[in-house]
Amino acid sequence: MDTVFFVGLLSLALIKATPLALGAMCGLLCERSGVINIGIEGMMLVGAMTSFLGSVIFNDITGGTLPKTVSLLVGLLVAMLSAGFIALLHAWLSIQYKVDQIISGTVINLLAVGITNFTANAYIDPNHLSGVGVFTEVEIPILSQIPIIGPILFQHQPLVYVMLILVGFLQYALFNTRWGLRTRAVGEHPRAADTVGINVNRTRYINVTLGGVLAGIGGAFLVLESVGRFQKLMTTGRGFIALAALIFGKWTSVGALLSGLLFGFSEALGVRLQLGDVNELQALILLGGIGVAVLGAVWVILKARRRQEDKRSMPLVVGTLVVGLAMVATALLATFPEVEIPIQFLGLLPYILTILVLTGFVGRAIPPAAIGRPYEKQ
Amino acid sequence: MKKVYYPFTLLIPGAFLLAACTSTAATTEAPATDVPAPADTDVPVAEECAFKIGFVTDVGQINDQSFNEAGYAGVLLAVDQLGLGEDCFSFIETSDSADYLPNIESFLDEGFGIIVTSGFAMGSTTHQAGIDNPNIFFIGTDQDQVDADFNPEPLDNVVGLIFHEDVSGFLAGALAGLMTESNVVGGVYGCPFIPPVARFEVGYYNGAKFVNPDVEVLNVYHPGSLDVCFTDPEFAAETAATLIIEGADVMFGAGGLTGNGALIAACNQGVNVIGVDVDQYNTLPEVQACIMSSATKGLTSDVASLIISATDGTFPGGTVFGPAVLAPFHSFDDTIPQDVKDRLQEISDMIDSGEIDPCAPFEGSNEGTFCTPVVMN
Repeated sequence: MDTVFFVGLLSLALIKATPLALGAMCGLLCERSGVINIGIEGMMLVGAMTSFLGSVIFNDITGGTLPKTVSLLVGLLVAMLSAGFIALLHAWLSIQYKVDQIISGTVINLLAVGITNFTANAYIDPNHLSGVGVFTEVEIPILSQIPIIGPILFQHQPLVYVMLILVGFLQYALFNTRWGLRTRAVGEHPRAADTVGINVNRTRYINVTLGGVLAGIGGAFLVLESVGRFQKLMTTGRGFIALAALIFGKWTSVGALLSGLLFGFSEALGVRLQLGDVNELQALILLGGIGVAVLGAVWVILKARRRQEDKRSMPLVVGTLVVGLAMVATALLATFPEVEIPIQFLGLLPYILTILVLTGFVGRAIPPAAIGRPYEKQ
Repeated sequence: MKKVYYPFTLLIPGAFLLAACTSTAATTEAPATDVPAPADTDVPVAEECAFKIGFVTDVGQINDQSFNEAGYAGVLLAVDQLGLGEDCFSFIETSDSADYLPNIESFLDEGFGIIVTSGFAMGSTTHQAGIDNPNIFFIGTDQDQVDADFNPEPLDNVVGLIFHEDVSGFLAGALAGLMTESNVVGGVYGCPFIPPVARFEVGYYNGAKFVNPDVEVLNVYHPGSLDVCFTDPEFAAETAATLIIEGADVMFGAGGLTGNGALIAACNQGVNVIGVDVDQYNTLPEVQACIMSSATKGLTSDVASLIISATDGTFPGGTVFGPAVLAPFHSFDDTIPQDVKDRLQEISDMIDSGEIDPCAPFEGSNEGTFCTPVVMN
């Protein structure tokens, strides 16, 4: 087990987290302004299909004279617009007509499955449409040369960077700009926001539509950066995992990225451990140890900073740290028998990790107060 | 009030899936292509059709450019040869494994006489339906004819069409092992607990090791459940990219849309690929430039001939073994050296004569592979 193993693992985790983080940011924009969005999956699916159609048709029209990146960018744009349009539908139903937002989101999901399957059956498959390709990898100069960090963060295809920038931007904007304050006010207490002159419903319309645009990028990622072709139902529940990542990340974009990374990491681990070049038991104990130790360390720091009166749980906290370090030491020092870990267990990893982290240190996730309730002026 | 809605959001994925599958199961939706909608039940179709043929897909889509599509092509071929009208055949896409029986029953209710079910996972349901409906002919692709205790139980009205995926997988592995320059070859697969997929995997591993003992074979299964493991091209694409970073310069993809994702992603990176089930040179346009061959099974022709045998009274019943061979090399015909082709032919002959067991556990190969004895016909 060497650095190459870890670099490969973390780099893959970041790629796998990209559609999850983009989907979660779609949910973030909607829910922070008070509109539940369980239609992320559908918006991503529509984005995936239209990005494929957009890039392929544009490439056809131009006869392949322009570089393929241009076609891919057109595909991306089409995906953003169409998913934004679907989101607008969600906004229209839930704001204008005050439809129950869960129902509206479900409708979006069913509609997306119908539209995309129909288009695939009626147009994509009979015409044997062939994908244009995928975005090429862009290495960030200088930064990508940093050992370990460089290959993990700075040697990716462009949408991964787009995701990272958006996460940072949204985190800043939501908590430091006028737009962010208004959005949160509308999500927490729309009546108060209204009395100070914020147009509640307009804010919600804009945010939900922008959220759809982000989900569109997430869907486009699947086609334009990962697979290179639209396949029916290709989101396979990623929109719902994104929603979980959002809640898990306590309705912040950085939190959503971190929980997306957790899902991505365990999925990546499921792949890497199947390659058989490391001792699976040793790898699991080592990684588990690192995880527990980090958890313990963060916990210790939090406790120390808060100077809590109640020190009773201190042994537990320090114990976590010690157990983690002990697991790491065991993994590095002991020799392990070659154990074949069942593939199904690797498939379970994301969920086991989620439960552990959720019970361990995320604590209560409190949604925006006005979520799910249409706003009516008195 | 504010805390009422949130717990429900977690129920929605399930509700959504349920809604999706009931709609598909109940309405027998036909796509807008050349496939006609099923006939209304109040029209006396039975008098117009000598036979009505129904096709039930496994979880997945009818035009998956792979397994389901090849099976359904067999139905279309038989319809063509029998000269049946457009009202005499139909299909149902299964979107949830809980719908296997309802989907079969909806064909039974509409008076279909021949029902083709696609895929291993529907085996026990089909077998039981055959026992319950002795006058209906059932053809199950990839399905062993066994009772609940896995003892052989052939029925007169049910045929399980089985293929030696290990044979075509072995040939694919041999091709990969002979053509690799980096001495690393990769493969991405659907669910490990589906026997045909596991047989492809072990065959591929054994074949590559047989011709090239130094080769490293990196095989990765989708770890998810049956609901996603054949419909997740993104997983496969990123896995394929990982395998390529590890040095793989030949990629094999076996597992419906998941496998396709691996093939397309590998092809986009300039790696040669090997397809599965059908000749994917014809079904997957993205990979035409880099597909060396496909590990096929003769689904289409065998399904068609079994349907025809049901109409003329020669229906065999029990387990039938179909051929599993390599597809033509197409654009690689010139690139693949003659001695590689000769070697493949030699290996094929050795398998036929029983000299090689393509499914025998090799050093390091997967042991739980559901091997069936090689009975060539």
